[in-house]
Amino acid sequence: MRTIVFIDSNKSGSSREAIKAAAKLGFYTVLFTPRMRFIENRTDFPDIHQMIYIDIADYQALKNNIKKLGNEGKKIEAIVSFIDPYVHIAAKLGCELGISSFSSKPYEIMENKWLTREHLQGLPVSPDFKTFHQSDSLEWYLSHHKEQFPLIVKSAVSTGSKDVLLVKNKTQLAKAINTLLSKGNNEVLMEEYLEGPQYLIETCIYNGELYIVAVIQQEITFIKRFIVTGYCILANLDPEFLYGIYQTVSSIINTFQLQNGSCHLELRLVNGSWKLIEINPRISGGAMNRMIEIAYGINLAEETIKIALGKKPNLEKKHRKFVYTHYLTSDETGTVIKVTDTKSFSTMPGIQEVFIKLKKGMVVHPPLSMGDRYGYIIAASDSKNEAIRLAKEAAKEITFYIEPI
Amino acid sequence: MVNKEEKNQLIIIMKNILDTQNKSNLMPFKHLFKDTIPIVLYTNPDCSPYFCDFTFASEEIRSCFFRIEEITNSAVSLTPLLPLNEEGKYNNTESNPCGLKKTSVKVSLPLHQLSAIQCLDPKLVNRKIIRVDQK
Repeated sequence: MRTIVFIDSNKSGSSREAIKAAAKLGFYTVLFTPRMRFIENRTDFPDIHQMIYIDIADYQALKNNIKKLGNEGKKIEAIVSFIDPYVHIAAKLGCELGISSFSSKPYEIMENKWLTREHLQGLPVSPDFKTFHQSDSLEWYLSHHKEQFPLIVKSAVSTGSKDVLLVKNKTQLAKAINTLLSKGNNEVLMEEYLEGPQYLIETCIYNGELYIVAVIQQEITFIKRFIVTGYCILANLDPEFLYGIYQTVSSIINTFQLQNGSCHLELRLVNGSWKLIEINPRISGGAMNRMIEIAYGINLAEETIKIALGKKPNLEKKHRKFVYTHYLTSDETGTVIKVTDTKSFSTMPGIQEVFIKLKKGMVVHPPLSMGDRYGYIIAASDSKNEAIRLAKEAAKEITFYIEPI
Repeated sequence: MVNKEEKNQLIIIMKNILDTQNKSNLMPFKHLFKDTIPIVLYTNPDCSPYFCDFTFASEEIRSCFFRIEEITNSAVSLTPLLPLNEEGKYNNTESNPCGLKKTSVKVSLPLHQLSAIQCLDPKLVNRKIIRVDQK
């Protein structure tokens, strides 16, 4: 039985769509997950043929279970993950079994912001940064370093804007470092704060060749943390602008010597120069796979699976549409009583998809990470401004009714 | 139809509810008990919920939610509660109100008509609901 093993997945979004794509391609899908609630709600995952509850940090247990699957007659053709920080683990397992076209080392570096910064140090695309190690004396550090504020202080390993803090003075810096150390971080990164429009670049690499699949402009809102509340796929790009992106991304990917895989990069255009905010060794989560599918007719999760299987991805754009996704957040804290019924939204012009993850009784609060976005609306149009307008107008029709805690 | 023993049980339960409500005004229990324990009463012969039609703030209201005010040997005195939707407006459906509000109306129901009682979450009364709009 041709089998693909997935190392963890979210319930929805790109990682889940990858599993659905694998099932659609005729594979037997196996999910290794540490999430007991998935096992308890097994019927919510009909596209997953087998679910194994496992501690993913236990590498030997992963190997044993893969061996067991083999003994059961399942022919494992790929082991993949679309979830940080398991992408390199999946690649490592695949390499050990001799079935992976992905190499784990570049992924391991990309999954750690500190290692990434060290790796790219000296490239023009790399912002200035400093590292504070757990063993360093904070008092000595603060008295011997003259920082140019504001700074971005972040954990080396967290994702989704968790633990990315803006500090404007020494007092805030000391507080931010202590906060991140108290959360178990061994290193704290301090980076120059860069101003300029931010773009997310979805890429694929096949046999060492880089493909820019999509360029997405991000709308960032700062409410205690930096939260991306809007994504716009730019259907038509100025060739010179695109070439600049290609050159920048290429210079980064080359340093990793990545031969196969997919990654997304967040780049900021600062005074005409591209600066790397972050790189992740997988397609962006959330609505990104759907957005790319709507914009270009490409299922990037599916094409990434093809690369994992050693096949050439089909990245031909079938059409071009501007796609805007507006994320829903709450600026109040409380328990959900009711959310506007969105069943009729599909009839609204340009609205492609509405997703709300809130259920009665769930607690909402102002966003502290990307995970605190409670849904999204995707709109598409031939014009960028129209796609943005349609999504935002539809979002205004949605209300969360909450009870204060 | 409920028998005499069941009827007595029903009265005991209603007295307990009333007692708990009354205790909520006493200092030691102020933060433990709620002033109103909303109830739905079911009546003979088919055990259907008892509805009360009344006018409140110039609006025609129909409600099956009540607060127990007094219990005598033959009847229970009730205050109908106004069922509210998430916007804090009168909710004219009989199920799942988002909130309940005390009215100044009083009704009385003979005990022999009762067959069952259902208690609801006291948090429903004067519940504060915040509206979070997307910008």
